[in-house]
Amino acid sequence: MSTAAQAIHHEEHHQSFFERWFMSTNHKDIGTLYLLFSFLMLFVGGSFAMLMRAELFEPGMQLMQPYFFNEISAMHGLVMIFGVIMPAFVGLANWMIPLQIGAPDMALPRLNNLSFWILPFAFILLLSTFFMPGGAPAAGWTMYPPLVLQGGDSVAFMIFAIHLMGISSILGSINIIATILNLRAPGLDLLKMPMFCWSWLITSFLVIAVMPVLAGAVTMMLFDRFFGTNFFNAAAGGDPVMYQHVFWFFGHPEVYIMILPAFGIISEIVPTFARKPLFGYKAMVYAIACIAFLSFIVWSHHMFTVGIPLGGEVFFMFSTMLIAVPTGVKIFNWVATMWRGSMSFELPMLWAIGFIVLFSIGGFSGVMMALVPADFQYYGTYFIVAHFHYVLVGGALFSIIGAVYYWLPKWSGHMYSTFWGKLHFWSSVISVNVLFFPQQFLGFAGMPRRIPDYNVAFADWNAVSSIGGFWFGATQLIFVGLVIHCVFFSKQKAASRAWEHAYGLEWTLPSPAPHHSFTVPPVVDDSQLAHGDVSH
Amino acid sequence: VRRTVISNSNTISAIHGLTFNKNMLRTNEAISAETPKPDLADTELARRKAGARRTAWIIGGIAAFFFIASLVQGHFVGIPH
Repeated sequence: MSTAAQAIHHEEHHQSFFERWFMSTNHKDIGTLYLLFSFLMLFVGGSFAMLMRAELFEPGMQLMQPYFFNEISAMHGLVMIFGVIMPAFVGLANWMIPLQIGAPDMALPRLNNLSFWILPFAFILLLSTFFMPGGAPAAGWTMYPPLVLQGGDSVAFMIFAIHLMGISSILGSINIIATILNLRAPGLDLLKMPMFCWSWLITSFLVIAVMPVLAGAVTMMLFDRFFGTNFFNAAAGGDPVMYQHVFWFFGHPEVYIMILPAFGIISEIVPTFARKPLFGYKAMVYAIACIAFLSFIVWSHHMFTVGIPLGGEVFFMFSTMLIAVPTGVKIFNWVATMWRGSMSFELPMLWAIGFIVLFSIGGFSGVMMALVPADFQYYGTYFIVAHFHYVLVGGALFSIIGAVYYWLPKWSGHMYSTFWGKLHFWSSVISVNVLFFPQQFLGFAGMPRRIPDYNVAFADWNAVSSIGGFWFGATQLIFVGLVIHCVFFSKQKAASRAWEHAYGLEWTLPSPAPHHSFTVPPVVDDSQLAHGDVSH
Repeated sequence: VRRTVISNSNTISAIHGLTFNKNMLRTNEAISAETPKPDLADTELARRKAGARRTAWIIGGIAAFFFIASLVQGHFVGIPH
C-alpha cells in the first residue's frame, strides 16, 4: 500500500460525525451532501409551486395577496434552478466522475468542500428575504430592472446570494475540469471517457463562461440600487434592455448547464439496459460540444418582442433552430442504441425513456417558439411555462431521478423496492403530463404567466393542471420513502456490477463503493467501457 | 569492487558461469546509504495534482476575465456618454 493510501486508510477510521460531514474533503461525502441539499431544496421550491397551483386552482384571489404570489413565483424559479437542478448535477458529478475516470478523489478536495458549504449560506440569505420589510424580491427569477429595483432592501440579499451561488458553481466547475483533465487513469484518453464525464467537462466550461456574466449583471444592478449608478435606468440615460442582453447571455447557456449533464446520464443508462454499446459515441460528444457552442449565439430569442432589429431577429431565429440538429443527433442515437437491443425495463431505463419522450415534447415546443412571428404569440404566456417545465422537469429532473435509481445500489450497497419505484415512475410520468400539458392549451388561448388571477375562460384547464401539480408533488414522497428504505433498511445487497450489462470503471468497485477508491490507478480495459471499444 | 552485470543478451551464459560472490549481496549499511525513493504512485499523483492546480488557476483566470468583460461592456453600453 502506498504511503498516501496508508494515510488515507488511517484517516478513514478517525473521523467524527462533525469531521466527516462538515469538514469532509471526500468526493463521495460531498456528493452526498450536494444531493441531500438539492433534495431538501426540491421540497422548498416544490412547496412554492404547490402554493401557486393552489391559488390558481380557480379564478379569483383565494389564499394570498398578489404580491406574495409574485414573491413565491420568483423564489420558486431561483430555488429550483440554483438550489435543485444545478446542485443535484454537481452532486452526481462529485460522486461519479472520480469513480468513472479511476481517480482517487476530486483534484482539489478542500475547494470542493468550500464549493458545497457556500450553498447553504447562499440559500439562507435568499430565503430570509421573505421575513424582511417589503418581502422577498418579486420580479421573477430573471430579475429584470427597473421592476426588481423597486423592491426593498432585500434586493441586496438576493444579489449577494446570487454571487455566492455563482462562486460555488464556478469553484465546482474548476474542480471538475481540473479533475478530468489531470486525474484520468492511465490509458483513459479523452475520447474513451464515459459520456457523463464528457457532458460535465463541457458543462463546466459553460459555467465558467456565463456565471461571471450573471455576477456582472447583478453587480451593476446592485450599484444602480444602492450606489447611484444608472446602468439600467432609462430616465438617466441608462439602458434596461442591456440588462436583458447580459442576463440572457448567461441565461441561455444556463439552460444547457441544466440539460447537458442529463444527456450524459441518459447516455450511461440506455446502453446498460439495451445491452448494446452506445450508438455513435463520438457523434454524441461532438453534438454536446456543438450544442454548447450554439448556446452562446442564441440568447436574443428570449427577447424577440423587446424590439431588436429585424436582421437580429432573423439571425437568432435561425441560430436557435440550428440547435435542433445536434439535439436530434442525440435523440436519434439513443433510439438507435435501443434498436434491436436486448432491452429490459428496470427503473433507470423507465426514467430514461420517460426523459427522451418528455424532453422531446419540450424540445419541439422550443422549436415552435424559435420562430419570430410565432413567438410574438407565445411570449409571456403559459405556453412558455409548459415548454420549460417539460424540459426541466420531464428532462432534467427525470434524468436526476433516473441517475439516483441507476447508481443508488453503488452508493448504498443495497437494492431498492422495484414495486414502489415503478409506482413512483408511473405516477410521476402521468401526473407531470396532467400538470403541464394543459398549460400548453392555456398558453395558446392567451393566458399570461406570472399572474395570481385569470379570466374564467381558463378555469377548467387550470383546475386540471393544479390537480396534476398536487399529484406530482405527493408522488415524490414515495421517492423519499424509497431512498430512506434502500439506504437504511433494505436487506437486499447489491452486487459490484449492480446491473447485468453495466460497464465502466465504477462497476469494478464493490458496492457500496469504499470510502476511498482507486488509490492505485486502475487498468483500463477498452472492451469494458460503457460505449464499447472506440479505439478503432 | 567489480560488479557482475547480467544483461538480457548474455543472461544464459552468465548464469552458467555464476558463482556466489558476497559483493552480489547488499549489506544493511549499503541499503541505508541509498537515497530513499518515493512510491511511484505517490509521485505520479503529486505531479498530476500540481497540474490540476495550474489548470484551476488558468480556468479561474478565464472566469475573472468574463466577469470583468461584462462590467466593461456595461460601462460602455449602459452608462450614458
